[in-house]
Order: sequence, then C-alpha cells, then structure tokens
Amino acid sequence: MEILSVQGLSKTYDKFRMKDVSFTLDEGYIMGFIGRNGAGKTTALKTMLGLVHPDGGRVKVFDQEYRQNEIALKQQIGFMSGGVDFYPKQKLSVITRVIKRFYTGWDDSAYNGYLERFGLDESKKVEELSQGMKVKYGLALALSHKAKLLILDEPTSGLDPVSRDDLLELFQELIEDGKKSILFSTQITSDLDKCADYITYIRDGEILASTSKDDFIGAYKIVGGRAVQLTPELSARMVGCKKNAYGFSGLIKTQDLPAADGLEVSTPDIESIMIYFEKGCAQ
Amino acid sequence: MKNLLYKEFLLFFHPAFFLCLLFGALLLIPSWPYFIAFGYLLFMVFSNAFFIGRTNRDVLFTASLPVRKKDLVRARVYAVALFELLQVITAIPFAVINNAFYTEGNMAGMNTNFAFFGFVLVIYGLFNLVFLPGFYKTAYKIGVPMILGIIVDSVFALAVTAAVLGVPALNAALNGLGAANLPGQLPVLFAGIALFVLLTLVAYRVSAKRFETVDL
Repeated sequence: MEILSVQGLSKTYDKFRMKDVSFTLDEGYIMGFIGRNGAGKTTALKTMLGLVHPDGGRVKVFDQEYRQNEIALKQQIGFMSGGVDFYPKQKLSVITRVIKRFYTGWDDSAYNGYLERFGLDESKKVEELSQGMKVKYGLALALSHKAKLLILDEPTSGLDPVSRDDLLELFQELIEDGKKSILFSTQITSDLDKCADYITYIRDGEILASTSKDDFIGAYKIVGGRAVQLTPELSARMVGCKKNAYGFSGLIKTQDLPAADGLEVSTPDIESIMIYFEKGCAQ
Repeated sequence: MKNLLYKEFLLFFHPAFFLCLLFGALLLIPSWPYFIAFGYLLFMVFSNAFFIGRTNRDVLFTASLPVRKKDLVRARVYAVALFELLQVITAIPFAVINNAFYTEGNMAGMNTNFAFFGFVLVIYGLFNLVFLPGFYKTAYKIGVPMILGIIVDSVFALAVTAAVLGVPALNAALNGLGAANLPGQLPVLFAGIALFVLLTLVAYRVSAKRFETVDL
C-alpha cells in the first residue's frame, strides 16, 4: 500500500527553485532522500508537510489528500528536523506533557517502554541530551502517538559512526512489522548503503532518481582507462568524470556503456554516483 | 484550543512572567504618569517571551503539531489578551489604595479612576492591533512590531493625558475621583472594554491571515 505519494511539488524562492518533485513510498519501507547541502531536501520535506506553501503539486498520505486532511493525517505522521531541539532548557517530562495532549492515539505505556529502551531519562533537559539521544527522544514521541510515517530531516547528521549505525539499525527494526515507513534525508551516503530500500536523489531542486537502491546503483557503471581511450563520444556520454595525466574515470549510465574493450568497468557505490553527478565533467 | 493554551502557559509564557503582574503596584507611587505602569507588561513580559520563544523555535514546534495554523495564532492572542486583562485586574486594588491615600489627586497625569482603566484597555487593544499582525507577518521579526506598538501606545497615552489635563471639560468629566463621577466615567470604561475586544479580534484575524502565508 502506498503510504506517501508526492506529485509535481514545486516551490520558487528568489534564489532557489524546487521543480516537479515526485515520488512514492510504500508501507513497510525506508526511503533515503539524498542530495548535497542546499539541494532542496528540507524545502521538499517542509513543503510536503505544509510548513512551506507549495506553488503547485499534491501530496497524498495514506491515500488521502494531505492539504485537505492535514490535522487528521498529522496524527499519524512523526516529523523531526534533526533531533528534538526546541525548548532546550525544558525537561523532557515537560515537553512530553505538552505534546501528548495533541495526539488522540497517545500511548503512555508505549512511551515509557521507548524511554527505557532508548535509555532516556525524563528528568533531563533537552540540551543535556547528546545529538543521538535527541533523535531517539523524537522517535519515542512519534512512536508513542503511533505514527506510521516517520519523516526525518537529517536525523544522522552530527552523530558519531557508532551512534549512526545504532540509529540505522533502529530504523530497520521499526519497519519490521511492515506497517511503518520512514523517509529520511541525509547527505551521508553510507546511511543509505546500510538501511535504505529506496533512494530519492534531489539535485538543484529537481528529482534525478527515485527508485530502489539496487536499481539506482545498477543504473550506473564506473568506467576508467588511459587518457587516449577517452574519446569525445565517450566523454559526451558520461554523467561525470575525473581526468589526470595518466587516465580518466567516470560515471556512465549502464545502457550507455560502450562495447569497446580495454576499459575498466566497475559497479559504483552511492557516494560515487552522487559525486560524479554533482561535479560533472571537469575540463 | 485548550491544549494550545496549556502549551502557551507551560512553555511559551514561563510561569515567572506572572510575577510581573505585580507592576500594578507602581500605582502606589504618589503622582506619576500611571499609564507607564501598564507598559511593563509589553516591553518586559511580551518582548522577552516572544524573543525567548524565537530562540526556542516555538513557531516551528507548534506548527509541527496537529493543529491548524489559525488556531496556533488564536491561542497566542488569547494568551496575550489574558495577560493584559490580568494586569488590569491586578492593578485595581492598588488603584483603590491610591485613591484612598492620595486624595489630592495625581499631579503628574491622569487619576486612576474608571475612565483611566478604560483608556488602559484601549492602550492594550492598540498594542495588540499593531504588534501581533506585525509579528505574524514573518513569525520571527519581533523588534520593529514591538517598537511600533509601544510608539502607538505612547502617543495615545500622551494624547489622552494632555486632553484630560488640558481641556477643562474633559478634566471635569474624566479625571474625578470617587463614586460621584461614575456616570461620566463608566461609559469610557465600557467603551474601553468594547474597543479592547474589537481591536484584539481584528488583531487575531489579520495575524491569522498573515501567518497562513508564512513559510516556516
């Protein structure tokens, strides 16, 4: 079942334009939303949630129009920008006391269970939590009101590798029941290698790809060779390339792969795809 | 709405701000421009609360909750108006003491009588009308709307003081102390209440409309 469908979402600012953002996310999956700083990840997420007004496009959540049913649908959505970082001087117990009143499906015993599981101490102030714990607190809040769609803006940013791995494992665990889905933005591509089922790649406000991780990686190859093997025709076909005195390497769509012998061909990782795309072909 | 008001008074307006209502005690100063006593709520409580709220990312936090944007504004307007009414109510006992002890009247401004409180309510209504829609135009700029609100209030308070003290007919009708002056002053008090409600409602409508278009 489609839990989230975004179609043709657009937003224009003075110096930035988000164009025709479209993708879908099914129930029980994790989608990584990648792009470099300023690519439009946060704008896209905020526009989806109505925090930013779209110029066009539509969003459906659980098959219902988001804009018409925003309040009811928000009951089932957990949104977090980074970790919980509002009212840093307040104790978690106070923040929770406020938030729980807004959710009809709030479950105190589930909340206490998540506090225990994540090692969260309610008597601590928000500012006393580490970045990883702030994210976990946000997850505890979202899961306690039985959110089925978690939309997380850069939850792994600023985390040490161990905490990041810990969090990504938790993401996978959360979707195991097949009823929840996670859409999270990141610029750390290894996050996606570890836990994403689908990848949506945004660049300069445009979606370049939104597909399964395997298809995303399978769609490209890295080719390399000596400088003389870099023909103008090959150069034109490549999405991005790097050249030096000894040779070249570049990213090419699998379907555009030349039959010529002698080229080294390898499978890229997500990071390489992103880097080649972003840097293009330096002359 | 109940939940949003709960949030306003637990998170946005720190309980310590209620102590500032004791600025009503400034009415015990002998001969003073007493309208100033009601300004502390604006430039101490509201100014601080809104700046602290911005630091705490209150707007994004609240807008992320399952609430309509206009309800978020409504809760804030109610909370502000409630504070203002509480400030007026808290000041009344001090005005009674003032009237009982300083029988010669106020040498530096208007007496703290029924008409005075009517004008105080208009001062708060005008502040709401200028500050709140000014703030909700961006939902983060506080300084300029706050200064404009205080300027409008200062001009109004000065004009009222000058008129009441300078025009003998107005002085006779509006500056007297004691129950004998009720017939002339009560209409001003009621007009003040009506204007406070009206201006605050307009402030809410304009603020909600403006906030609806703000990108967070």
